[in-house]
Amino acid sequence: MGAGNITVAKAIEYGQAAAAAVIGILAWELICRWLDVPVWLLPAPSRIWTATLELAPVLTMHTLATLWAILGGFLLAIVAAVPIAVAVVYSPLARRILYPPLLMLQSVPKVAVAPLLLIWLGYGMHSNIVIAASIAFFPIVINTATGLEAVETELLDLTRSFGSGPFKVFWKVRLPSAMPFFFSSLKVAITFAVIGAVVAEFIGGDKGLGYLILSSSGAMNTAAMFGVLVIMSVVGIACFYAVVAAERILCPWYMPA
Amino acid sequence: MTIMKPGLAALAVAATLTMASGQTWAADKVSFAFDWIVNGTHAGYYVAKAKGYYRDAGLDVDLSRGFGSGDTVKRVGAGAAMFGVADASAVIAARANEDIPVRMVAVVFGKAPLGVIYLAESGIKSPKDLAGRTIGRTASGSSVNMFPGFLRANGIDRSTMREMVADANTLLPMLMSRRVDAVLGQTVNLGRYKKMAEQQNLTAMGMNYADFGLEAYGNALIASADTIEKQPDLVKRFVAASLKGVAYALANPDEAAATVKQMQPEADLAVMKEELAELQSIVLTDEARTNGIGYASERRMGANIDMVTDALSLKRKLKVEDVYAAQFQPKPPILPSK
Repeated sequence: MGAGNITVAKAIEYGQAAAAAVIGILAWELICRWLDVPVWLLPAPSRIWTATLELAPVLTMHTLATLWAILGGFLLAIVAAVPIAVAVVYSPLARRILYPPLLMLQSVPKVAVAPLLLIWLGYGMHSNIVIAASIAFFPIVINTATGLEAVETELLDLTRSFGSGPFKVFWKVRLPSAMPFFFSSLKVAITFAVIGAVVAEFIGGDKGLGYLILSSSGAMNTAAMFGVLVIMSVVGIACFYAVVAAERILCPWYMPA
Repeated sequence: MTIMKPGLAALAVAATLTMASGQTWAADKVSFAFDWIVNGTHAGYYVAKAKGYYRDAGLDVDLSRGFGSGDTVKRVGAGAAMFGVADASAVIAARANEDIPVRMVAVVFGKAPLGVIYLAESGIKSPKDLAGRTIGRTASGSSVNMFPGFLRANGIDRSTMREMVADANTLLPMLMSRRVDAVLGQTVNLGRYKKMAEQQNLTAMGMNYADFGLEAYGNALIASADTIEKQPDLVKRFVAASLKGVAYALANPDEAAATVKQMQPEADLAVMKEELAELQSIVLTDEARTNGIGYASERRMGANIDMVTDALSLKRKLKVEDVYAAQFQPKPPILPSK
């Protein structure tokens, strides 16, 4: 009985969200029609739908290209950020050396540097992955380092007094306590990776949703451009919830049921 | 011809009187958006402002940079800017695909400065040499739109080429690092390429589509349908003052470049001078020498529409008057100085 009630309650919650979305889209459509809003200022949902259908034959290829850049950039960011976070926590020297260049990298607008990256690294998916990673990387370093440090000192003292070595302390105490911080940074990082992948496609490349946005806006097809934006946000949302799901599976101990 | 409402006529008379009597009224506030970052091709408009051509026409003009012709077309269509500089092909595409209510009111570039920019070291000498090469280009834009026409006119098969798509600011380093053999762009910006190439002991060259069988119009002054309909007198004054500035800038390029530099200190003086030198052949065509700067012929504009319609597979076929309002040509025409 109890479980059934929860399912019903969940269904109602999702139903509310869906109803709000439908009402929003309907209102958008009606406003566009009533006020006769020109398509190049704000295309109505129906126009966006037809324009997107016209793009359908190439859409899968471009969406997949962007998805690979997002995932590749996201994973590369994790692989690069976590060791740096660990180094920064354990070594004050590493912190002094690493933080200034990291902050510098973070402050540089990637859009300005991306053209150079393209020249340095060459042209193609790997450049897009690096650009996406360069944007997604920073929050992971900061949050993970904060998480590793956020252990209660009493707990550290206690484990040490039981004779646990530094590796065990890291593995059993620091790492688990850092996980909520780590995953909250991943949620930020995945949305940054989406932005990074599209920025990279804006700068160079003839594949991906970023390229489709440029070419449809260049061909004065605003409705198609909006369609690509919608697909891009769906990809972004899907990636975000994939991270949320991973957190539930990997760290069940602090997640709400 | 629509008959002017009495109120409007009175207003027009009043406006003319005020202008003649030396401005008892404040000048009309006008915003004017370029097609791109400020460069030598905009020198004429800075001259018109600095030398008081706009002021004498009763206009207080605010100049601002653009973000591509397509964007400027939308800004003018939406009323965010009253006038703009945009490429003819962008205006044609905007009218055909989305019916953005803008029209050209003067065609400043009688010959589109669109073309192929390459390094002499690559061994490219003629359009035929482009076959089998790697070409860098932007995702969209006039140079890309007109490329198929240029290839067809010269019998080159596009499928033999490798194309790399990149942001406009990336094309220059791509060419200099020899990642591509040639890039598509505005030959009027050749100065920027030459400057960078010289630093590496290379030589940048340009090949204009227009010199190889593709007769397209380039940058034009544009205004919204609303402005054209409601303030024709203002449009006329704006066009005349702007074109006068352009004529002066072409006759006095060094002074014009210095004028821009004074008002826009971040612009590169040497590059602007190069751009103004390139601009001579772009603006001062035979057509401009005969009919005045800003003139466009019905025949060539029609051919232009055909070219763009074809290249972009546009949704509808336009008539010349859909994209170009010819009634604002100054009388007498503004002919090149000297």
